[in-house]
Amino acid sequence: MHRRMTFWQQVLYQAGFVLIGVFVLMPIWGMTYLAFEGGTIGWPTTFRLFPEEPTLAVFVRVWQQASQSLPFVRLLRNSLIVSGGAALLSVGFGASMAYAFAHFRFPGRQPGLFALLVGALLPPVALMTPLYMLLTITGLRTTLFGLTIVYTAFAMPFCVWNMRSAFQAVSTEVIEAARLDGASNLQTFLRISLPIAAPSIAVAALIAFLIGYSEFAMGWLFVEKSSNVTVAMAVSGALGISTFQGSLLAALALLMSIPVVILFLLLQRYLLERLLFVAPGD
Amino acid sequence: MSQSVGYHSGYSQSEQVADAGFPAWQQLVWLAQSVPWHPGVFVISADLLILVLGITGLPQLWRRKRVFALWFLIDFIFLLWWPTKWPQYVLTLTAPLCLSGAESLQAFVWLPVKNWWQQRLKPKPVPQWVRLPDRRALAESWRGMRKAWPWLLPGALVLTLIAFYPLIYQSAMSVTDFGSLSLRDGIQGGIWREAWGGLTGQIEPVDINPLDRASSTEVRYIGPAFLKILFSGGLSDLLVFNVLWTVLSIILQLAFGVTVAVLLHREGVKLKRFWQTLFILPWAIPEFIGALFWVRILDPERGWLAVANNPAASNAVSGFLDDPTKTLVLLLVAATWYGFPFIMLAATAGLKMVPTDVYEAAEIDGAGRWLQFRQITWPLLFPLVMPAVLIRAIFAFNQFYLFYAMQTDMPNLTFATLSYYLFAPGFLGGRFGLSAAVNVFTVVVLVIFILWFNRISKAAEGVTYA
Repeated sequence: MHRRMTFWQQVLYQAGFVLIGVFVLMPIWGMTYLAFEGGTIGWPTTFRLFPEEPTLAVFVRVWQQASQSLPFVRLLRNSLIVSGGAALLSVGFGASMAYAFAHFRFPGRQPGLFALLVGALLPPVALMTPLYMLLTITGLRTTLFGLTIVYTAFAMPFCVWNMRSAFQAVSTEVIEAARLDGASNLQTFLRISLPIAAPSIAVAALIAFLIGYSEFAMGWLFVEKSSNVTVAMAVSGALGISTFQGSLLAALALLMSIPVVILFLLLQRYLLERLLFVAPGD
Repeated sequence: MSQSVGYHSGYSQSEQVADAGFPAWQQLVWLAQSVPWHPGVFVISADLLILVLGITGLPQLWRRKRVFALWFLIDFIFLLWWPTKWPQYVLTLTAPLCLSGAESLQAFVWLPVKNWWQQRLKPKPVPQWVRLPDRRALAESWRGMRKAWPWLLPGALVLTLIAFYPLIYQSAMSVTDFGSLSLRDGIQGGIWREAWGGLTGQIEPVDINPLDRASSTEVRYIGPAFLKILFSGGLSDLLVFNVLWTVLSIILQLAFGVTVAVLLHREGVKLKRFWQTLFILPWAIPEFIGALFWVRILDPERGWLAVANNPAASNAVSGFLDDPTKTLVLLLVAATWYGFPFIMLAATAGLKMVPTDVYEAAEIDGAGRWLQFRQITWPLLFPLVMPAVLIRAIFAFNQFYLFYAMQTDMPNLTFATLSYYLFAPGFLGGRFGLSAAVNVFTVVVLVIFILWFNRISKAAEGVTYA
């Protein structure tokens, strides 16, 4: 491992990375080029590597009319309401629970942790049928709030699980010191644990947000009014309609993923630290 | 002799075989179920059980009776490759499979039971958990509860309302024929009425084929008929595909991800950060968008590759792929693309923890690069990537958005996708009861799997975003 690389070894390695890079970029480029080509109806029938006349026309159209007659910003607003709402509800209702799981010993703790884990790993589809019925009964099904509840159900167990790890990672010495100074549980939680764990909680919230942001199948089941369509739903909808337009789909998909990609690249190191190796507890 | 071989190879290319349209792995499906010609004749079917036991017993068989293990492997590979996929062909596998099953029965069932029995015969102190908790322990747990409940209340309340109660409601749905026709009755409490009445014996189950579309406008109790089908390995083509899909996609992601991580870890490689950032991209793209990107490339009629190969490709609307084996390959490519960065990151983080002086020692001993990886890197790395792999496996088993975007059809479906198709409006849709039953099945499988892997490792503790 410590031998220096020869020139040819370096070339070989770089060539390998270029190949992997092509594999990684190929589908992304396939979509990007389609979006910039503009006006392609259906899938393109001729093979090109680059658009013939690059144009931003489709992006402009999507910006003004992403789905039906709704502008992109309106869809984005819907997306932000439902997935942001889901993230906030998950963190807001889950934080104290996560703290209890991290720091208190109480009967039923182990089964509770197990239930949380099962909840975090459930496929979204597994809650679809009953939630559809329950929201129909309560009359919330077609509202944005109804969809927010659905996404909260998907995201919350996972969010609580991760916040528990975040609280556990706060060193016990700090907490002990606060206790010695006469701080109550609530004070320790608000003044010490919460601020220290805040970055990890933010990451958990971000992931909860992304679960809702990229969800569309449940969206189409629950939403009826076209003014409540989210960005992800618009993308999947563009695939389904009879007057299918490749460029439109590509532009929408790009507009949807660009913010997420930027966010991930910016937070890269951070996400790795917080998400990959959480301090194992118990 | 040559005529008989010639006849069979000719037959395997015939239209009759091609029309059957079986996937390459079809023989696994035949192994997992009773012969399809006599539905309802067999009272119970142990085929699935024998298949599972047979596969788990293979390593043991390899050590103890290698001839039979070789028989099994060679025969099995041949059957995978040979185009004719008739059910009777698996008979050639029966002998080694049963021997292998016997090995695993001995190792995993008989020996533990025997040991347990011998342990029982020895007198032992009463274990801690049998003793009644004394007053002090009771008081302590009471104090713990009193301290914890205000903290738990908001979360527990919300989770019960939006996750646990729905799961119970769903179980009730799964024993009825609730469907789009009986929607109104279901909303007005028909599901609880029928499920409660049926389970307490007040209502006789209606005798209908659970797969038929319900024709009644009232919810009716049908008993756990469809659940029974699912748990006894009915729908075995789906079950086999789902497991095969999980195993193959996870192996590919692991192999590719670890390879890239090891390549990037090599000291002296230029542009390390650049490449790593580039390779993370698929992870940052929402799964179904990634799937759409790949549809754009791989669609057999309209995709980029198809157009490049055949400039005259029509722009006709194509549905799913016709060949399930090719579909599996396309799905695997997309899943590897989407999934490898996560494993790569986990492996990169793990490689940093492997001490370097071990390699120096190995180098002095003259160990080659592959030997170093095999003997040092992999054993140290494996436990570190294990949580990521297990979580990935669960996600693969439940994968839905990829299949939805690719618009695959039977048997290239996961149970989650089937459940969605049974629910959502469409050709299969509107059978809420059936969809609920599939979900109950998925949840039970998930619970068993998590229990099992919690036992074998504490990997569950490392569960994070995957």
